[in-house]
Order: sequence, then structure tokens, then C-alpha cells
Amino acid sequence: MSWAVEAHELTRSFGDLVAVNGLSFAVKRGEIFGFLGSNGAGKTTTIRMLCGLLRPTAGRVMVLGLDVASHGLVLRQRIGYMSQKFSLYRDLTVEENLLFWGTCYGLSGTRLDVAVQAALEQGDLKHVRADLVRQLPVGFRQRLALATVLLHRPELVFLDEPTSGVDPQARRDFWDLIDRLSSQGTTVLVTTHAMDEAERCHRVAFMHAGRIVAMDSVSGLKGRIPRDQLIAITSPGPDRVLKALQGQPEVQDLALFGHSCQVLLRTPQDLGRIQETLRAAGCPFTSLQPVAPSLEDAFVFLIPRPRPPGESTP
Amino acid sequence: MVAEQLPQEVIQAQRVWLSYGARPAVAGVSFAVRRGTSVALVGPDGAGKTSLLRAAAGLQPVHRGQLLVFGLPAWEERYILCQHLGYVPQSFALYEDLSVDENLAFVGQIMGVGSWRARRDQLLHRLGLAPFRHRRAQDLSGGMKQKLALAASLMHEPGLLVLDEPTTGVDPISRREYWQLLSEVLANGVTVLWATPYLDEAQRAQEVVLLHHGQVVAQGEPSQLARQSGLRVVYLEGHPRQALRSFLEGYQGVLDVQPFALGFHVFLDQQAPPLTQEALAPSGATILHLEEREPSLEDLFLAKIRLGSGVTQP
Repeated sequence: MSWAVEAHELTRSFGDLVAVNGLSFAVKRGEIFGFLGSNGAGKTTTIRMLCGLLRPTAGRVMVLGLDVASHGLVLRQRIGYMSQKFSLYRDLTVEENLLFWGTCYGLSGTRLDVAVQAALEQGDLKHVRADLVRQLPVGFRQRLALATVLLHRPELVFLDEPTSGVDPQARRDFWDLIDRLSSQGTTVLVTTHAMDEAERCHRVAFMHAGRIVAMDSVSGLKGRIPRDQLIAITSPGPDRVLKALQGQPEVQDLALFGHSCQVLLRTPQDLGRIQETLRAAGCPFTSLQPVAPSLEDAFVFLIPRPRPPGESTP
Repeated sequence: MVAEQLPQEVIQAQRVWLSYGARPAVAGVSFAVRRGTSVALVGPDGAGKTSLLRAAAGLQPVHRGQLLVFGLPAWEERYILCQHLGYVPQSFALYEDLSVDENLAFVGQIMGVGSWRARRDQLLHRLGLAPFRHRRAQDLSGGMKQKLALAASLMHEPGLLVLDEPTTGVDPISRREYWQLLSEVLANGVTVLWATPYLDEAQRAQEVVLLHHGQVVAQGEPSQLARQSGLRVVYLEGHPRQALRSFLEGYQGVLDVQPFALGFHVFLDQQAPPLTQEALAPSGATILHLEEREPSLEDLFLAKIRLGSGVTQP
């Protein structure tokens, strides 16, 4: 197996705060791998260590077969990073942005021209090559941001919430491109807290408080919720169901969902107990049905709660 | 306003147009929000969501059409209506330099809430903000800020809440807590109109209005919408992947083939013959996974804007 990333007991502290705590994981070449976590879970710190921008307090990380600690600079030529804010010059045209970034990555002459043409082609940007970036819709800017990151043909790409705020069509086209990259052997690491982005990854790691809580395919993660533990209760008065179940010890999560009430139980055995609670409260219900969990359900289920008091986000 | 006097439809928008300069941001949108329900305006950036919410909150006049809130024209009667609605804009309406307590006290006093101290304490307790009451708003996490903004909008006990992307940029756990709180608010009879760019989250609403470029793409109950559209979605995994994709793209009734995780999401129209192992045999690919999936709102949205007439209009 050829690994793009291998992390062993990776740890990073800032003063007393352990931002990343003994992380071990490996990402295959060509894999689309997602880090999903709350703010402050350690996603960005992890990525910065993988890029060689931040030195681990302990542990070791190999990227594309090289030790990041000793080969940071060489590696940076072989990886690409697309930030959430898109590092583009708004007053330059599409083509000028590509030329600028290509030069930064050490391309020149024919190699630069070829790379820019290929980028325009691949990102479907030819017809807007002479447009100023600030005049482009966000979907185009996002494709351009990706194109600039790919100019030097990196073997590993980091994407930070790449498709938040863009329309479904732009998102579809973007992931088509990501899929093509992956089938050509480029490894893609995505950090996000948007479920629809994480759903498209080959594997996802749930991060919480500096640790990986679970790591699996999306269907594997969803499968961790036992059947009969996530229930939709349909009732003529879902608001009454909500009130009857609020604060019950069996209930882990509870919310109105369309015309029903969705409840995550602490154990599958709690199903009988909440039925009794509803009957005792004189609360009519038409059905209690298990629900196919979403990735967010799996996340909420697997992340330890309650969070420590006084949680804060940098 | 006495509850019994309120019309059944808290908001009625009829062929509403809103323009900035020559370009219409909203072009002939109609929808209604029944009392005690939650309706989501869903769409990407630039779809017209914020314009509609602002008009509903009486912050801008409609240029054509009619927008009634509690039976009154939203713009003309805005000074009366603002006593009965709470509005939370996308950028927080909070005083960063004031503490949680001070923010709520301020809003309570300017809204003329007689017993604002009691109301504040009640909200602090219900929204779990009590431990942070002396913390300045700027030192709160994103999720806590959202809760405080919600608390501020509820100080004067409005019958209608208008929330602009309340969970954008909020992490998954905080998002869940927010939905629990909003469920409580709904269960207490408050009507909620909210906007979101997350199509998965929109499924929580009782009704959704999918917007694209200022026009309605589809509207109705989220669980019914996709079903009524006739769109079918199949998830397929197989090797060799490219051969499978090419075959699918030429298959009768296939509207779109999207890379999704390790496989593809295949959009089929109603006439398409079933995608079975036998039907896929001529592709030469080994099928590893084949599963019919319930189309999501995102699938429907995409089918509508990408394929136009490919699926039926519910």
C-alpha cells in the first residue's frame, strides 16, 4: 500500500492547550479523505502540521513518503492548499491570477503557458479568462482557486470547506473535478463541518477535542448508530411529543423534523420506555419508525457529550 | 395582538418582486407561512433569500406584488409589526462590547418589555446561557453568539421569528443544540421563517421554498417534494469505474451521473428501466454496491436547475 499521509501519535500543544492529541491515521494515495469536526476540534492544526507549517510537539508525520520535519520545503512544492477564503487577486483577471500563481510555484516559459492553458481548460474557465476575478460568481472563483492550486501538479491537495455557499450545480461540477483528480492518483484532504461535503469523501475522520473519535466510510459511520435508536415519531401534535419527551433521561437528542419529531435514544432498549412516557402523558402518536441516519446524526451520536463547560472557539 | 385575532397565514407573499438597480433579486415569488409552522427559504448565495426576509421584517419595500405579515402590508405597517416579530440578520445583531446580560437588558428596554429582567432570566436559563451571562458577546463561540442573538429576538415574545442563515458557519454540535431550541420555540406556537444554504438542513422545515436566481424552483413539504418529482437516485459502486460511468451516461433515462464517495449517484427519470445487475452486465464492470436512495432536496434542486424539464414540476 502506498500512503500519501502517515501520522503517528501526532500531538501539538499551545501552552496548556493540547490542540491535537496523539493522532494516528493514514491516507491512501488517490483517496478523498475528510476531516469533520467542530470548531476547535484540531482540524486546522492537523493540516498545518501536515503541510510543514507547524512543528508537532510530539509524534511524527510522513507525507508522500518523506518526513515533514526534515523535508518541509521540498514537500511544499508537491502539495497544494486551497483555503476557504480563496487566495485570489480580485483586481487581476482569471488568466493573470493563474500566471501569477504559476510563477510563484516556479513555472516559467512554455511550462507555464501549458499549465495555464490546461488549468483554463480543466476548470472550464476559458470563456472568462479575461474577466476580473471580483466580477465572477462565487462558483467560478472557487474553480479558479482550485485551478491555481493545481498548476504545479501537486500529488496531495488540501481543501478547506471548498464548496460552502456555492450553488448545487457549481458544487456538482467541483466534485466532478475532484473525482477526476483522485482517479488520476492525486490525494485530496478535505476539512469541513458541512455534512454534504463530507458525504462525498471516500473516508471520513470525525475529530473532537484534538482526537479522532471515529474513522470510516460514510456508510460505515452511519452504520454505527444501532437500529431502533434513531426514531421518527409521527403524531397529530408533534409539539406535544416534543414537550413530553423533553428532559427525559432516555433522550440524547430531540427536535422537530418536518411534521414529525425525531429522537435519538441513549440505547435501543429505551424505545419501550419512551412509548410509556408518551402514553402516560396522554400524547397520541401514529407511528414510531426507525430513521435512516444522516452523517450529522452519526456525528452527534459518536461525539462525546456534553461538552466541557466554558467551551470556547479561537 | 391577541392570538385569536391572528390570521391563519402569518406571512403571505404574492408575486413579490425586489430589485437593486436594474437586476431583480427576487422575481415574482409567492409563498405562505401558516401559524406555528416553520418554513425555510433555501438556496445558494444570491438566490434572493435575504431580500425576502428583509422585506418580511419590514426593512425594505417590495417593488411589485404583495407581502402581508399578520394580514398587514409588511412595509407600510412596519412600526406596528416590529412589535410582533423578531429578526436575526446573518451578521449578528449583537453589541460585542456588552455582556450577555447587558445585550438582553438593552433589547428588552428599547422594545419596552415591562418585566424584562424576568424575561431575560427565563431566556438565559432556557437557552443555556446562564453560566455565561457576564461574558462579553465578542468572547462567545459562534454557536453561543447564535443563541444570544436568538434570545435577543425573543425578548419581546414575538409571534413570528425571521432568521437569516442562523446556522451558517456554526459547527455541527452547536447546530444540533440550535435546532433543539428552535423546536421548543415552535412548540410554543411561534411561527418561524428562516433561510439556509444547506439543503440537508432544510429537511427540518415543514415547508421549503427552493430559490435560484430570485425564482422559485420548487416548493412544498420536503418529504413529499422529491417523491412527487419522479426523480430516482441510485447509488452505484463498481470497477472499472470509468467503464461503468461511460455505460451509465449512455443508459436510457439517465439524467446525470455524479461522482459520489467511492461510487456514483445516478439520476434517472420515471421512464428509465430499472438499474439491475443484469441491466448493468453489458458495461463489463463488476458491481460492488447498488442501492436505490431517496432523492434529497439537493438532488431535486440540481435536477431542476440542471435538467429543467427532466423531472416533473410538483
